[in-house]
Amino acid sequence: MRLAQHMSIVSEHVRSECIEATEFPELSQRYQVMAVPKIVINDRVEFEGAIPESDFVNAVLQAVNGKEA
Amino acid sequence: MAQLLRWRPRPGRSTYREYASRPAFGRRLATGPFSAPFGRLRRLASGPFSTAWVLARWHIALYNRGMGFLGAQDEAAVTREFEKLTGPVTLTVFATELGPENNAKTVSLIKEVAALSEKITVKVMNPHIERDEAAAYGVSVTPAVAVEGAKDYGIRFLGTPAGYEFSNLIDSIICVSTGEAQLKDETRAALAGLTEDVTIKVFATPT
Repeated sequence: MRLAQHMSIVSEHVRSECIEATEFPELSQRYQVMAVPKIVINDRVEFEGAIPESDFVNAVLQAVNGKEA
Repeated sequence: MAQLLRWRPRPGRSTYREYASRPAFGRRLATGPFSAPFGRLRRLASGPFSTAWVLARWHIALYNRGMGFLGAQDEAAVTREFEKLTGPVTLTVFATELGPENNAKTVSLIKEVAALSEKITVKVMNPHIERDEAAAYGVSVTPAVAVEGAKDYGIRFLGTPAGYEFSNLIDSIICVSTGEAQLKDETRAALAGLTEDVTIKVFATPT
């Protein structure tokens, strides 16, 4: 979450939402949240657990590029 | 207390006359040294509010005073963190009074946090009433908190930002205030090339 927030500070294209999984069970179910933290980027790329900064950026780029392709 | 509860306006006689009549004045004197702390209660209870109502409000006030989310240590820690704030921060809370209790919890938590620095202002909105604002912020669920600095960076918290998310809330407040992010240069370069909007959803739990 910290990374996502700092990314939205740097880039105006990035929007970060921190979702309380227990308070929104419908959302958690739709995105199949089994473990936290779970990160979903553009409803396209998703992963669980904390990952290094470089991997996170790659995931963001992958989400964007996947859309273009 | 028995004296207190026995004294109530009687039907058929105006409250003012009851209060001003000599026997009532005498009863007030007769309550002795304990009349002082109850003076306010008696004055209120002789008016439009019943004794039970006044006592209930006092109970609620006392109960809420001890029910703050932040202990003294937390407040001290957050205040120390907030010394880094440079610019104004606006926290916009979307909550509905008719919703589940986490709405009210979020509002009071955000107000407690905002009270720790004069740079932070709070706006509370109801997404069902202020629909245009809610749409502008992209908020469709409650409770939701938007953290804004000099501009809207797009940082949202859905649900009560307590526990694990609380440290992120404090961190995001400092970030939007200073407008500085702690990221590697490669990350900044990669993000600078973005042309499309990206929404990163992070699911977390309080523990």
